[in-house]
Amino acid sequence: MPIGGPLQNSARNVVEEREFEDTGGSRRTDTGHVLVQRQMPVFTQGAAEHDMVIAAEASDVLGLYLPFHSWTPRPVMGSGGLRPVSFHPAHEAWGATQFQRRFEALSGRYVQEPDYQVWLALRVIGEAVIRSNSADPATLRAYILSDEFELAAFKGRGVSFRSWNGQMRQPILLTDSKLTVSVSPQDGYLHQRSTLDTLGLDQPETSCSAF
Amino acid sequence: MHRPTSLFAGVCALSLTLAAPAEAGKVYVSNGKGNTVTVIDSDSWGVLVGFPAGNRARGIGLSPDGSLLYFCASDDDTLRVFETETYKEVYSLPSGPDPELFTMHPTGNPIYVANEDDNLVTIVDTEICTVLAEVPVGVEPEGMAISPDTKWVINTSETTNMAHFIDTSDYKIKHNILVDQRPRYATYKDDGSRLFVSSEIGGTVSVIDTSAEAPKLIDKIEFQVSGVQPEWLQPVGMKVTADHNWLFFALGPANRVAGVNAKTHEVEDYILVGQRVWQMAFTPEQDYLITTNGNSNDVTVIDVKRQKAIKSIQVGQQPWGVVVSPD
Repeated sequence: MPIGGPLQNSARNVVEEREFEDTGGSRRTDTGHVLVQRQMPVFTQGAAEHDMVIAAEASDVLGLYLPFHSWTPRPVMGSGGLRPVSFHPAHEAWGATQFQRRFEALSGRYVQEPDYQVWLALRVIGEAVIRSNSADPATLRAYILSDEFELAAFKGRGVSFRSWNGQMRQPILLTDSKLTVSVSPQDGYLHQRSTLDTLGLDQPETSCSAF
Repeated sequence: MHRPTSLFAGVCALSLTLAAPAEAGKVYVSNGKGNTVTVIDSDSWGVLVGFPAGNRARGIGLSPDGSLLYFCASDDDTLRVFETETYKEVYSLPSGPDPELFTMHPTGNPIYVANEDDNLVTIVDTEICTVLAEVPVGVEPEGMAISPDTKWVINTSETTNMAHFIDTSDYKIKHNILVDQRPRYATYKDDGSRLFVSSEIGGTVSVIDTSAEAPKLIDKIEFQVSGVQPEWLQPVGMKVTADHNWLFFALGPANRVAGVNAKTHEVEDYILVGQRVWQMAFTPEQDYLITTNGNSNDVTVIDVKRQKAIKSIQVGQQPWGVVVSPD
């Protein structure tokens, strides 16, 4: 599944795009490393002069093979290499250790992004019920989308929602799949409202009309 | 390892009889990642010694006479007890799992421990070394305070966002006050009339009137520093001067301590300290305030009267808690 839309919006200096089609024969279960390590250099050969390769792939079939296999040695980001994630099992700061321990005790495994997102979704509703003292869905929705809503989510600062498109305003962890390498927004990015709005679609950029 | 309770009690009693008299002028800093305690001389501000103290050292405190140092070894699931004369571990207390912070009855017994992983407050008798009670509280308990009249123990739960009022006569929660996101710390004014609760992610300090029977939220103190993103103004540790004139709030990644007028609740000064300032302690006469700076691995000494940082002292890795020996 391609997730290239948001990438095109945020990466303004894309010099070239290529699509690697998954024909079904290169999966890990088909000893993917044997074939893919031959395919990736060829696939990335002869590209326009570039500083990095960004992979956009939601299904984790090929992107993880890109590092070490590109024709020109360049850092890989996105679906391989340095990956932006909502949460990661090695994330410990800002009380995340407690979240990880509770999750592991409950499930017997490390946390995955969807686990965190489900927890966050339910926590949003719980918090709205407590703060608004209401169980009425319309009241909760209005409160959740208002400027008053804020939630601590083990990311060092409160998360909230963008009134213009309903997107969650949240820090994004950057991981090499082993540890939290960094957390964005990076120092130095400024914004008139919240530096978290330097990530994702800002108000002037949105074409969303659902909110 | 679980030892039989009777053995615990025996070790505990023996150690108490051997406890040496207090020495004045020592600052003890727990280093959360270094798993050590750093001891600083408060006259020369030189480091006297550092000693290994258990895994993930966080909350730290002293017995009223200063002879015993207690601290939460969070990853050891125990409260370790050291003699301040010798820096030798004399025994450990059954703290419940993942102890983070505790408050002590003014007599030194019992102590009330927040168990962050298990959503409990454990009440531990420090003389017979046994658990007296476990009180279920909100999610991720951290902040602990005891009212000056000792009738209430306060616990703040970081993910439930409440201050829980535990009645010390029956260990039941009698009141809950909803505060802003991620309450980390609670402290009373000496006369018991006000309770302050800091909300790290909310960026506010809640002022709770505790002079009547039922506590009431009456004010929220906010912070603003030119050139610092508002979301980095994250209050954690707090101290109130004995003359009730000044409140000091440690502002975490804003790397500042706010000096607040206790009557008007207005911030009068922001004192630049080390990086990620969390906990603080006064010297006995309240001449100096010492802050732990977790990201710069140092502590800052603030001259309280002048509200100026006068010195930084390098300690262990990720300093967390701090306590100063009594006179």
